[in-house]
Amino acid sequence: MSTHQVEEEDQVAQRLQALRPVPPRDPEIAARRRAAFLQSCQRVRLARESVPYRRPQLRVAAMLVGLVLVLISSTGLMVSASQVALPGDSLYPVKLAAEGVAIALSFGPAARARQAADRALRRAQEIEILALTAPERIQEEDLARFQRHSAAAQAHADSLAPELAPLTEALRQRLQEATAVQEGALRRVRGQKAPFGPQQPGAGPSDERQAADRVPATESTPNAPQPERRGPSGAAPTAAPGGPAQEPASENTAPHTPGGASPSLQPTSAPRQSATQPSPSSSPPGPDVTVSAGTPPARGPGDQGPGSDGVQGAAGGGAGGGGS
Amino acid sequence: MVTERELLRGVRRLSDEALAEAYDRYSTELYAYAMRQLANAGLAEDCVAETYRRLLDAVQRGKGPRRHLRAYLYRTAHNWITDNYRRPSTEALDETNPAEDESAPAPEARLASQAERAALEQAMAELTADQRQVLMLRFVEDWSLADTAQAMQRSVGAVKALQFRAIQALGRALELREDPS
Repeated sequence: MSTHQVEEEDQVAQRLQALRPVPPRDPEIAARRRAAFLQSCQRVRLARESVPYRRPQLRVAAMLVGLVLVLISSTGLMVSASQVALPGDSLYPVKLAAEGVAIALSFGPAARARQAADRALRRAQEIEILALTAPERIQEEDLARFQRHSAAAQAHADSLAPELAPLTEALRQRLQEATAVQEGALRRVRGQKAPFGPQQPGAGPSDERQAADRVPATESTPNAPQPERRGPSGAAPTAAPGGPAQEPASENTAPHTPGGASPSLQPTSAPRQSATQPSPSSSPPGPDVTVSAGTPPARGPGDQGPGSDGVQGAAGGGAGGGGS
Repeated sequence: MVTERELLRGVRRLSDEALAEAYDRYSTELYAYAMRQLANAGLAEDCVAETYRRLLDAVQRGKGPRRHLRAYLYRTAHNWITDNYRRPSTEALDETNPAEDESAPAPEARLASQAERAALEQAMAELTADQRQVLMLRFVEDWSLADTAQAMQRSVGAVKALQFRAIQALGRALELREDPS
């Protein structure tokens, strides 16, 4: 700073001193204003104390709780929306995860076994829906998943205590139904084309289509007269050379059929029925324990398909005792 | 006597004692600061009241000063005064000019010539609000550069530069009044 500037500054400071004197404040007015200010302070303090979340920590906690609630509700919505997902859909892993959690959180082995059986049936229904709507989307892993879930459901059913035999029996029936649904769907697909796996030799498309056309019809109307399926001109034996006549579809999906690979699922008190030919008259008497009635989820386009009806009919038969 | 920092903590807690102390400690000098610029006792009282009201509002909303209470109060008062300067009416300046107030028991005020004071007030009125504030704080209130910088929320260097320009501007304004030719 130059000398000139300093001098100029001193000069200004000197002159500005003239502004310094002011008349003293009126003490009466000052006291009134002071009292008014302190009164305002009291009001503000009382208002602050009446506010529930005045502390920043509480506000943060409230925000966190809100965030958690939003996350929970959005997760719930996503899980709900995923229930109609099919293999290959973006929400399908969510559906699988939700099912896994539901089984893990089920209370007791009986509830767990029911959930596992429902899950296996859902896998079969998904394959069925895909077979009807988009057969090219069916992958080997979908079939493998069905096998895994069927095997798990079977293990759950086998692990039930002897006093729960009626439930065990009902679950076995449910798994048979699931197998039947899946096999019917696969027959339908093979009747059109083979998007996965090698085509079974001798399973001609025309024969398979005839078999597929017949199977859902019999499933959807369990009480209807059964057509003769094992005659020399029948399609099923053609599709399953060397296999038992009651299990024609198991040959089509031989590597994936849990019923055939799991003798323990066979009813011990009655001869095993054909999965594709539920015979109400030979079903075991209705157990006291009811298998989950709300088994099939929203079905989507498959609801209108004959195979889908067949599943519902079969499931209903199993749940209701099958003798009606 | 509590430090300004401790006082500020009490104010932020809305403690009765701290608020009363904050009022007692700074309201009189704030009044004088406002009075020097507004030259109106009523307006100066309003300025003080409004300054403390704004402090209270800010504290209630969890804002307000965190380190320097005095600087915050002066800044708030300055803003209020600036708003008043923007008002078109200047009658208040003429009504209770302390230089003309015969009842004012201020011996220094009597010593200052009425002409000098009037010339200064008019010259100050021609400055910008920031220039006026820096001159008032630095040379009338005798604040340090650092305190002035806090009150004006500027760096010390910026305050120095502003002060230089303010002095130049005030000199020009005074010259024009003293020598209009």
